[in-house]
Amino acid sequence: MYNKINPQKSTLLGLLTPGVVLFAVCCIVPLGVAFYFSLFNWDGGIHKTFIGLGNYTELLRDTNFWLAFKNNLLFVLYSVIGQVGIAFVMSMLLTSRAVHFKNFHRTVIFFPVVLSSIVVAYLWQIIYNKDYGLLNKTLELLGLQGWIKPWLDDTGIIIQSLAAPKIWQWIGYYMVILLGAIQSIDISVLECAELDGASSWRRACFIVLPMIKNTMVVTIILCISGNMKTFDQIYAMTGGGPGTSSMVVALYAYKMSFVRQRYGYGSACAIGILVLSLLLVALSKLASGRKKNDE
Amino acid sequence: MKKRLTAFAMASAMAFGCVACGGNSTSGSSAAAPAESTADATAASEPITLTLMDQFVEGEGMTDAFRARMEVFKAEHPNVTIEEETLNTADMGTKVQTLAAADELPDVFQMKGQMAKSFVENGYVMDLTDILGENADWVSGFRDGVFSNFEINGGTYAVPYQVTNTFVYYNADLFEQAGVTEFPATWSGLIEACQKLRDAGMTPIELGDAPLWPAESVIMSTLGNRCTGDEWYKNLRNNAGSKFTDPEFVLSLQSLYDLAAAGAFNSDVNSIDGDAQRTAFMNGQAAMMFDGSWAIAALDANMEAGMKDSIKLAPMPTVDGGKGDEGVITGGSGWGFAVNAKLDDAKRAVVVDFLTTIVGADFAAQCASSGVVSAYNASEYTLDESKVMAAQYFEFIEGRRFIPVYDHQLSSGLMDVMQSGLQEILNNTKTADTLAQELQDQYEMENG
Repeated sequence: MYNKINPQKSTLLGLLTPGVVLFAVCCIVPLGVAFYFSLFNWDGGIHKTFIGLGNYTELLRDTNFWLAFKNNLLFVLYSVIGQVGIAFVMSMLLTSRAVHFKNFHRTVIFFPVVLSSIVVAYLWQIIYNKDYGLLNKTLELLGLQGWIKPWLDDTGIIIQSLAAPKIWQWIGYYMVILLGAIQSIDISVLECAELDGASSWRRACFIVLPMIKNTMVVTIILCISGNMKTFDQIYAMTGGGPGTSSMVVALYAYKMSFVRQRYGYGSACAIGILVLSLLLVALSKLASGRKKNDE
Repeated sequence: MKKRLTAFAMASAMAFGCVACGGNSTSGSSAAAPAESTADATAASEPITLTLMDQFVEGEGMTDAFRARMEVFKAEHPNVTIEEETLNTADMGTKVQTLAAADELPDVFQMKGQMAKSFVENGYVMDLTDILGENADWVSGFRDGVFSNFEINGGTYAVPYQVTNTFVYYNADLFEQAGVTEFPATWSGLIEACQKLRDAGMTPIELGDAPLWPAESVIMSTLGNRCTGDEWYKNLRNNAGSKFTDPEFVLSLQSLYDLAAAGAFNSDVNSIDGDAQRTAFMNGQAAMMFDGSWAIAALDANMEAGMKDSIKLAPMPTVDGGKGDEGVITGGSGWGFAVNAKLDDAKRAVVVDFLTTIVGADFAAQCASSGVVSAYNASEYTLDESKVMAAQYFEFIEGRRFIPVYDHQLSSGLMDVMQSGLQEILNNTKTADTLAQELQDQYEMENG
């Protein structure tokens, strides 16, 4: 059966080349260039001073960078719980018999995914507006005046305020992935469990979750990498503010490069993000891999 | 249709160019003279593309005047195609610096005084001294001191077109309602007035600092001067001993901190922008706003005639213990037209024409009629009767001494630290001492 698709080596090479070249030019080369620049003290002009790993030692001591990284970790945490968690619950609901108009629900939930982050950012800026925003107006109607606040000004809740649109936007994306995984589970397994008297809660936890574990790991890795590189929406909503309270590493690297004109240090930040993201992904793989060995 | 015409023009120009070249290379010295004269004749009609980057977005005070002058230039130069990119001020700053680093600056672009030093050191911008010398008549029409932000090491690197001032707008009706009889002359008086306004249920001062620069540009530049005086700032710029941690500068940060602590600002100060700020002020929700002269046009266009009469302008109050002069306001030409250092000689004449056509007496007159002050002297203009605010503004700045704006002159690194720090001063999450130290650290890093 498989010998039908057994292409010549040259065909294989020809088909791979465009993708590989594109990837190399767009991802690998800039990475190399960024690393090269990160070894210099460079303000964007003609003079570059080679300082070796000087930018990296500064990066290690730069509290603002690490505060930004902490914010990234918070976003990862909220998103893994919010996006993947809610997406799992919703995909369970959409595969149950209790919900009608499944296609409609799926489309509506997926809808925000196709919006540009900037659109989502402006939409939520309006929702959060102190005087006219949907959120505060709703709270007022419900008689919850005490809850009304300028949502994007309070440094205590700014990360949560920014995580909400992020979660809202991306639930649909993870839901579709998880839905696919759940639907690929052999229906007879679930029916057997039901006949044996397993409640839907037990079915979700002890049958569905273990069976889609690999997909779950992939979604979590996607979620981590997505939140490590988060930039556009925060740039549009707060610009990292008030002060630096909602700064994330990608925005920090951008500010260092393009606002403060420290292109060398900005590149070092970018390489730092790469290393930290790889570490996080490796950690999450390690965590999921170890469980497998225990079984 | 337009495209096809341009294509046709380009094609014929190319064909003509080939013929001219051929003639030149095959003929001897006797044919050289006629060939040259053809080249001269074509100079006027030869298609030239000029790339331009500006910030004349729709609705800004100078946009109409600029567009009108652009039309004049286009009519006089049918052979020139202008590829224009228009960005808002904040994006413009980032984009110009990024294009500079990539060495891809357009032929003519707008440069901020703050960028001038590094652009000149890196050889990105053309020294306009010769061009200005050749057009002395034109240059004599500029206001005094408008070139100062662009003069580096004896050269002049941009043609200014605007003058912006910052001051306090206040609503006299609301002041009266709250029992404040006159605009406070001192900072402690201001805090007191804010408390009264607050008790009367209004927002004392509306500020939209989400774009980061307003608190620094519109408040700190003046407040800093009120506390430090001119000498401290001069020494800071010349690296001659001033420190951000000096008590006089810390006093200015502390004054803003105290004002914010008194609840003077709207609670969403760090998440709204200038438009939202002006809207709240125009709607009478807030009694004061610190803003620039660029807001005059918006106020004139959007406010009811009756309400305009209650809007008054005032200089920022003095600070007890401060060294600055009272009554001075910031003023300067923040941005100017700069020319790419790598401009082809063929385009030089066109660029000179462009600059002299855009900025000049007509431009100044039209700006003045729309209620904004340009860098050029406006002799004849008529101010529409509805432009109450503009008339008041022209009167207000008459004879006032101008002080520099921080972000026109200090480095973008320092400004980034100050601007994001001021957001935290405004919500009282950072102390004046901490921010002063951060500024000083950045300053020392930049100046060695």
